[in-house]
Amino acid sequence: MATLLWIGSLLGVVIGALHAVYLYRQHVARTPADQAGAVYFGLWALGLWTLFGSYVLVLWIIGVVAYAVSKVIPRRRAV
Amino acid sequence: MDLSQVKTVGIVGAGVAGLATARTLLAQGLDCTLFERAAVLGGVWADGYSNFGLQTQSELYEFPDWPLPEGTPDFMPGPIILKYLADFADHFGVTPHIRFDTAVTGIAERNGPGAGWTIASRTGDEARQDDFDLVVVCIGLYSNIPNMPAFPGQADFAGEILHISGLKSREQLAGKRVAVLGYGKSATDAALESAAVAAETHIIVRDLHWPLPPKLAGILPFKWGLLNRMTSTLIPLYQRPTPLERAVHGLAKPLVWFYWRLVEALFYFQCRLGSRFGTRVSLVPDKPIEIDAFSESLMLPRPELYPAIRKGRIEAHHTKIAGYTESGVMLENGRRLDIDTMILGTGWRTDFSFLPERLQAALGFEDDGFYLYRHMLHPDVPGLVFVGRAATGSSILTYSLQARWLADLIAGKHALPAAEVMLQDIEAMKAWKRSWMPYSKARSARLIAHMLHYHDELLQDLGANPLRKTGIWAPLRELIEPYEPRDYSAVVSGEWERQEGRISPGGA
Repeated sequence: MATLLWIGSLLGVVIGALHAVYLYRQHVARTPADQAGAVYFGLWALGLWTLFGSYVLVLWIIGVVAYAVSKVIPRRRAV
Repeated sequence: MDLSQVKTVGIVGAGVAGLATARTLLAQGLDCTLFERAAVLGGVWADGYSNFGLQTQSELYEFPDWPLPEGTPDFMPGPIILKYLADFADHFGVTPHIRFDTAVTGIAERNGPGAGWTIASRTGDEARQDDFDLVVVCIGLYSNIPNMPAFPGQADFAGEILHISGLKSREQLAGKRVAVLGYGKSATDAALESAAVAAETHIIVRDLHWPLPPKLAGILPFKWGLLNRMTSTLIPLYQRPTPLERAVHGLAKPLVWFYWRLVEALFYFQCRLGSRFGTRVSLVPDKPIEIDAFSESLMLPRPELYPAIRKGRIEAHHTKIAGYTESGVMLENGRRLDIDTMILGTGWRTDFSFLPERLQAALGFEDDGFYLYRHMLHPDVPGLVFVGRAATGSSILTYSLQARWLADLIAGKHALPAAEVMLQDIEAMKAWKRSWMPYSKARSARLIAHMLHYHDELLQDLGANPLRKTGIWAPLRELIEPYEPRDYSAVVSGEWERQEGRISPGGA
């Protein structure tokens, strides 16, 4: 469990950093004078992803399993 | 397309879109004339069926810079909405510019494309023609013509066949055996009206849809699950997705899939869709919810609908009509219903016959409508703009933003791309929608939960910041807080330029 938490958080840091850079660039492109705001949004992205990274990872794993099961079980509608 | 010389504007329709357009353009000093075929303004709100009203919380249906009066109830009844619109029109000086009881019978290009228009209209027996530099069509998507499907044997049916628009009072159905055809907002409303007074009420449903309850799990207003940026990321990819959205629908696809199955499970249990006991039919739709949400209409039924079906006050039939008999209808599942009244809750069609054939061809009328750049104009028809051809989760907000976009275009504050670029965008939008969005005659205009993507594009065209949440918690609010009309108040009023430092406080 602890390992999963660490992996999830680490994943969150990586994704969060990428997202932060993206948001920073978007913000600066729109409002070049507001670099502080761009950094603020970026830090929030990094923080949220780090905080919730493990939860996202767990839900993703459950999703993979459920998705695979749904492909095996015959259903009357396309998913 | 150069609109910088526009001085006079003819606006077809005085509903929500027409009022928003007129208010914005009048404020800019343009001379506007609205043509409204009804005796009152309001469009779809001018004359509704029995007990008609809004299907969303009231704060989602107000002009961004004209708040509803304090104490306005949620799910506003139609008459309250109509008064709100009338007050809006009076306050912003739109009303004197409306020609009521005046139907537009045709429009024609003056001296060739881009040289202005002549609108032919009729008020009673009086016909007239007026010239304008620009025509804005604001007749919406579901306005003029009741959609009344015919079935074999209809001439033999001894009962009454009524379009939903003809249901003015539930007393019309008192003591009768009634069947309602359809499963949208108006059809289910009609079924509930009938269930209150009729001897029998049936609802015949060809296609089931996932309902969107007013409150998720009975607690959270649905706007929190539909109108925020997190949901915008999880719905099917937009035409121009961001890198994050691509990643979410790529590597994280199982997570997205799982999220929507959880939502389906929530609605399944909340609305108890799957009951098969007795004669009750399963109401679980075939399509996945994230696709079904973009069908003909987002289904926001009244909370009492499913209890009424479970208790047998409304008998649901998931089938089609095979034909009429003298005493009722025969269904394709073999069941025969003896009824006195058939109510067609099958919606409306919009009449574009006032547009000459050359224009209809240029606009590219097809089975799912016609596609426009920014859902508003076509480069092959300069000087003709449509406001109100974008069905979103908050139409009044969308139309207000479209009006601002148009006003700023006329003022030269932003410019259109080259015609070839607009045509490419139109084709790309068409291909995108047709690749996944369920078919309907108005698919070309449908955006629904892609509302935020569309609004972001309009704001980016204007040069405004699409991120409208403010304060220290702004980043978190951007993620989870729903977007409402008031978030765009400064954009619609034009104040955003001063607030975001685009112009100096003292001048343009």
